[in-house]
Amino acid sequence: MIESLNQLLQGFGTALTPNNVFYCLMGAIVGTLIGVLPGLGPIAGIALLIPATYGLNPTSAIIMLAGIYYGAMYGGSTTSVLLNVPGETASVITCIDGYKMAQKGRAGPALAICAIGSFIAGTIAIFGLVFFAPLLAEAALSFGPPEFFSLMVFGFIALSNVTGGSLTKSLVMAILGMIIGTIGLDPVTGDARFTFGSAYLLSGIEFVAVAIGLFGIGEVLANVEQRPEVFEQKIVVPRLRELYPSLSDLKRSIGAILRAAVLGFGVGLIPGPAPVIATYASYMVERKISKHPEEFGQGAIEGVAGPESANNSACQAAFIPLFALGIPFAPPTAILLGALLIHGIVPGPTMIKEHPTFFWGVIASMYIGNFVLLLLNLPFVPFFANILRIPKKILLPLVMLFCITGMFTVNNSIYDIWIMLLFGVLGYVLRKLDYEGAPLLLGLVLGPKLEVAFRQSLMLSHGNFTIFISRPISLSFTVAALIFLFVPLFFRMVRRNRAIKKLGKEG
Amino acid sequence: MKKETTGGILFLVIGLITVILSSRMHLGDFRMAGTGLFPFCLGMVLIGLSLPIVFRGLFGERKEGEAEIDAQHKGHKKNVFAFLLFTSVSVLLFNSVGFAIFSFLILFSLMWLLGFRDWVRNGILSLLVATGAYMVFVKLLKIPLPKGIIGL
Repeated sequence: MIESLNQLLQGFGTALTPNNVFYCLMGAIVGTLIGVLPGLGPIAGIALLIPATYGLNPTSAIIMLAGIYYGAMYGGSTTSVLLNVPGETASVITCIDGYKMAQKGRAGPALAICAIGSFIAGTIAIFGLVFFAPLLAEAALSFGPPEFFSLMVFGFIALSNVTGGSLTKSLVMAILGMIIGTIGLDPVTGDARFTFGSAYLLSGIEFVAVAIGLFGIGEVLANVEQRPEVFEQKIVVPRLRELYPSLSDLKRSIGAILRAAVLGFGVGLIPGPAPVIATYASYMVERKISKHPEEFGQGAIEGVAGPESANNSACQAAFIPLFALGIPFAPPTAILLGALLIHGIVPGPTMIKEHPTFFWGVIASMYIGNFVLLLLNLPFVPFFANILRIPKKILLPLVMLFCITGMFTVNNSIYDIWIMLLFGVLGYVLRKLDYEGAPLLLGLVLGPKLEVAFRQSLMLSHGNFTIFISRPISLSFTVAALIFLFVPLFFRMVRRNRAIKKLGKEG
Repeated sequence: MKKETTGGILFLVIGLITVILSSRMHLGDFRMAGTGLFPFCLGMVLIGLSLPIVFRGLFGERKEGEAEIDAQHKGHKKNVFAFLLFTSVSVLLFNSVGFAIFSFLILFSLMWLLGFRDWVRNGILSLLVATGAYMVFVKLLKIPLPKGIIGL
């Protein structure tokens, strides 16, 4: 523990250099702007801005991208409270009481408590990250190829299970991502696969092109399809009256914030869209234990403080499996994994030892980022809310220009732009067909690692598949994967049987 | 055709193509896997996962309210095609006209398409944003972008 604190102090030395403070500030500001814009969530935000980090060293680049991630989570609350429009999915629950507070002229306290709660919970979660990530990484050092294979399979199934849609569809997307990931050179033998004689495809499909295409361009095209009246709509931003919460507001909120910090941290370690689950869980807990449950839904400040704190705590906790195991359990961290690999950092058990300056610098920057966000969110809320006044007919072409320029800067290649547009169309079509893009991206990033682990495991066991269940750690991941795969199916069958019985009784 | 069926068939076809193409590579065996074995397995799994989706789409009952949802989702597809067409033409011209003209062109055409039909105001705004983008990307961030015919 003392060692971790010492290294954290050294991390502050890295994070507090003028350059890194600047990039942390930029990430927090840009992330907040992205979070404010409905539709453009942290996933699209990080994907769009990866190319902007190419000229930076890995530490500065990830400091900026991590800032965008938690900045977007902060920013999402602004539109939820002011306009009843969640900037990203994790802010949906904040709309319920946040917007009611705004209607009662208490938008200021609602936004301020979002910022304060996010700051406190985020800071608590970073403490957890400091102590748990090295421990988990230490444990993961004993992992061999079979353990990593089982862990990745578990990650795929768990994430597919909780992305909200159908499990089969999510798995289809993950497999499609892995198939796309096989394009290029075979990681073991070096033979070309699915390249059709093209030299461009030898290096595989550019991850950034897929990410920007699926999320950025896909989102733009989905917006373009809306009726023309939507492009003309102007949003009136309400004026903020009293900005700061009263002492009684703070008293009512502090318990909710602390509970949500712990809850969000726990949920953040579980695979899936942790911030979304954490916000719902926190809201349910607060309503259950409140002395005034009838106020929930009518503007209860705990209904804003809890979910927003849980949201940020879960975001920070999601960095633990990413950094310690190299396995992202949530879509935004899957994109961050891609960014890390692009910058030559391979996250996993040895990363903390191999790149201590990077790891502790990024962790320390999170404290700074949280503080910056607190400062930003309190006085600049009216400014951020004004972004919503930009009509979509201007905003969408701007996003398109930014996507194309950003994509070109990656390799100075027009081919990348075409690949990005192709995946943009795919992202748009997949949306229409109700398929999630996130598992595809996870498949693309983890597919090559999964293949190597799979082939190495079978080489070790001379083709014997029992290697995945004969080693205790691998067995536990396999069992966990099977539980995640079959338990929801079991509950679905039980629900269906109950419904049939009910219909039979009524009939 | 239902969304379910369309999606299922799309992935079934992708799975089949993957299996066919990877079976032409060296497959090896599980003890010493060849280049094609992993994608071959993935293709087989994809086929296995898409078949139930196709069957559900073909023979499953349509959920209550699904027709209404589909009708609501029918948007302005023409806009999407036109948007992609304008973007593609601009990208085709990117190298030859250079970043400065490209950014003006793409902004002007896409804003016009989305309903900003005031030529003068659209032109001025596109020019201002294109100039700003040029200053940020080329002058400030020193990113090497195509100079094109005007050499900017």
